Amino acid sequence: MGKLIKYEFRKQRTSRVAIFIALAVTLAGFWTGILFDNNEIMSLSIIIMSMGAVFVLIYVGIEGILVFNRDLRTKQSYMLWMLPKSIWEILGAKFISAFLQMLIVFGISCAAVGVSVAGAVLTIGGLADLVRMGQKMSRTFVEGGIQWTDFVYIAFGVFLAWTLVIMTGFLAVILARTVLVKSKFAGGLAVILFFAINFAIERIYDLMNKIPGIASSANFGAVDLNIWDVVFYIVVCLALFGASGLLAEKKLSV
Amino acid sequence: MDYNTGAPIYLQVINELKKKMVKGELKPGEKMPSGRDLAVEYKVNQNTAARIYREMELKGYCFTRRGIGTFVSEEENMFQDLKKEMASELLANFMHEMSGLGYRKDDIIDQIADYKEDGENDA
Amino acid sequence: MMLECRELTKWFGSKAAVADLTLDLERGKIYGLLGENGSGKTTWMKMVAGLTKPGRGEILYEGHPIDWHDKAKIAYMATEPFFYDFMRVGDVGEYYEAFFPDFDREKYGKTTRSMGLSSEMKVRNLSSGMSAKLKLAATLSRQAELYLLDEPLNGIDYKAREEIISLILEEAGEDNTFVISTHLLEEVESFIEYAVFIKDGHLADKVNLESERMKTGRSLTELYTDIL
Repeated sequence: MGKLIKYEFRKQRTSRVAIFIALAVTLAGFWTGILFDNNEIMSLSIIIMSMGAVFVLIYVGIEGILVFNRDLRTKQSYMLWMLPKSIWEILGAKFISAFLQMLIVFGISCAAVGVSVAGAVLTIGGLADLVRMGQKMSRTFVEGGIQWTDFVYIAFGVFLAWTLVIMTGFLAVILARTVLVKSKFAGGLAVILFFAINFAIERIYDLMNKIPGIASSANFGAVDLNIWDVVFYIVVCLALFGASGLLAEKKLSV
Repeated sequence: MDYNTGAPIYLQVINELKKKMVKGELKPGEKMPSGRDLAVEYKVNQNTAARIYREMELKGYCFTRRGIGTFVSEEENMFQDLKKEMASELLANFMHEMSGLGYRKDDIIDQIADYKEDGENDA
Repeated sequence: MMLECRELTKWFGSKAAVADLTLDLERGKIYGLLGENGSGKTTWMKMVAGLTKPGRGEILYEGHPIDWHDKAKIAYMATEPFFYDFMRVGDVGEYYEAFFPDFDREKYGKTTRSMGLSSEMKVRNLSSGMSAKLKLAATLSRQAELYLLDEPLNGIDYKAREEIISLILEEAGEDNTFVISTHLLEEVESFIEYAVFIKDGHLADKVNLESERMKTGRSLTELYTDIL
């Protein structure tokens, strides 16, 4: 498994490097603006960074699906399918390496932006301002009733939602490549199937919430997520993963 | 080696090896290539290589020492016989073809006496 | 029997690429897989290698239905280049070593060097001939039980062909089986034991070449013309 993850992670290296270079360039712009007291460059860098963050968020989120689709479109799929590895291990490695990619890209980006903002406050306003900012932020948490456990719930909720996207994507790609072998329309079909499967899951979710008592269950902290939602999404993710594996094992030709 | 693609490969390789023995390229008692090396050298598969040695052993051209390898026969007489045998085989073929063209033995002998190999004419 | 294919069928759309193909392969033999382009040779190989799933029929390996575990003993080489773009020659060896327990890294190093490939060369920059040699070096550096080589001599110059045939014959023995698909009949005629003729996705004939030469004196080219 570790070796599979290593090579899957390697496939995402180019995008990783590109994102970090873009981050470094915009941060350099940000710092140039601060050090030379140039508000235009600084605000331009912040705007580019914010817009870039949205794009990166979406791209890195679905990159695992894109890589999988590309694998199946080219002969490079043989590299995985000729190995004495079960389909579960292959799909599992793809999922884990996609998760690692998110973790590393967002971890480093958030850390870099956080340090830069703190540094900017320190440069402009001095140590006193930085301390004041820290106090203000922690007061907001306390006054707003936000607790650290909420962050755990939010992170878990985001993870679940993202897992659902990836699993739906895997199934859509496998389904499309099984139905349309060697066709250039398979990619387009995968996109359509992705939304179709999503739509179906939403309908099932709505049906579940019609069962008395489920919709009114207590949420976790401040997050709009109750125990039934969590169970539902976990079951759906496992079902999608199972369906993907079985379909790939029995029917998928690369 | 160039094969006649219409004839069994193993017989052609045996013939080639016999020629090597007669010419002295394979000496009495000398170790012969392993089955694998023979296969690579003559572009045959392992089963054909094994068959070649089996047939040659049966004819007494070589012998196998278990675990050590296959060796060219040590009997000097065998080489003489082999040479004669191959010569008479060639001769028989030749005579057969020539008589097919309508030549009689006397004509053939005259022709051989007059025959000049390439290069001899220049001398 | 090492490999048994029973009424194997694979459709692509409405066209059957392989149709009711029944074929047995024994251990310790070299098979030539012969047929026109599009006759189903590649599809059959990919099914045995586990890359393509049969629509109908079954494949037995050593008596059991073939599954992914058997890929550890089957070395498949596709016609097209299939290594990852980002790899160098050395990385290919590392990859094979990581995933195939039967891979001999030392042999791979020796073979690639003798082919003029250095471990720093980038896979995507190789010429088609070099790329073909690299695939073979990687595949033949495994000590597999069943080798499936799809057009291994294509795009390779004459001298290198001889080297590759030598590599195959060095590796071939009583414990393994080779299936080699090719159009270059003269190149393989002397060493393939059985010619397997495929026509329109099914088995047209399976001929022991040495017996055929003894019985009828037909060469492989003549057989090919007669059967297909």
